[in-house]
Amino acid sequence: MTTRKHKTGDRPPGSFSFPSKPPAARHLSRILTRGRQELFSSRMPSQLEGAMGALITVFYNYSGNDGDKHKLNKGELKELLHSELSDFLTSQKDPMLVEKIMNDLDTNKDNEVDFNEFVVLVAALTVACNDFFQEQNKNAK
Amino acid sequence: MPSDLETAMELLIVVFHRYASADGRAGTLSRRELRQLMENELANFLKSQKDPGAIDKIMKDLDANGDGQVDFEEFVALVVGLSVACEQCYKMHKGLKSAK
Repeated sequence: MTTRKHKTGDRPPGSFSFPSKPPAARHLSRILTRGRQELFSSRMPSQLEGAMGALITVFYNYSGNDGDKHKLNKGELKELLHSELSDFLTSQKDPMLVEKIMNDLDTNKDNEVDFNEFVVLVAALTVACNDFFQEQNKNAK
Repeated sequence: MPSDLETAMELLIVVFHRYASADGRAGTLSRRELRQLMENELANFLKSQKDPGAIDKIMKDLDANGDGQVDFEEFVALVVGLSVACEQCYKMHKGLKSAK
């Protein structure tokens, strides 16, 4: 899979493609798990820590509704997308988008999306947003 | 009104650019800018590594195209890795809490 950079509001051809976890992230995970206990320090979180915490909180707000509490089934994923990314869904104008996203995210084909799989969606969308704003800034100059 | 998820995603972009625009190229993090970002935003994590060379190793890992700069897509790999590590910890804590 390759990262597809496009502006928000553009309709991607075919299914939505997500980057597979890049080699850097896999190696990083090994380094980072050594420090993960410290990630829950009781002092006030930084903005970046707050943002990462929010990704986990949002995921668990929806994954805990039924079935496996640590994973999103199709219904829970649909609810999450409609509540948290409604503008994105509307801009794609594709009634099959939730199905395609589920299909792309569920890499181990267990009909559930775990956090590792979910975060790929967030990464791809955030990169696309950043590209869009960089373009806008360039055009504005 | 943005959702919680949209706000979090926006914050990733804002934080990145706050540090990336400090010197040189505005859309990428130099080694110094990455160090600044990690020392301010991920201080606890850095301390836990107990490895003075951690930032250099992370820079080397993130800089996938080897140009000495970390662009946003490369930075997001760090965020993904850290978030996954956090979630594993969160799951463990939840498991311990419900076992009591």
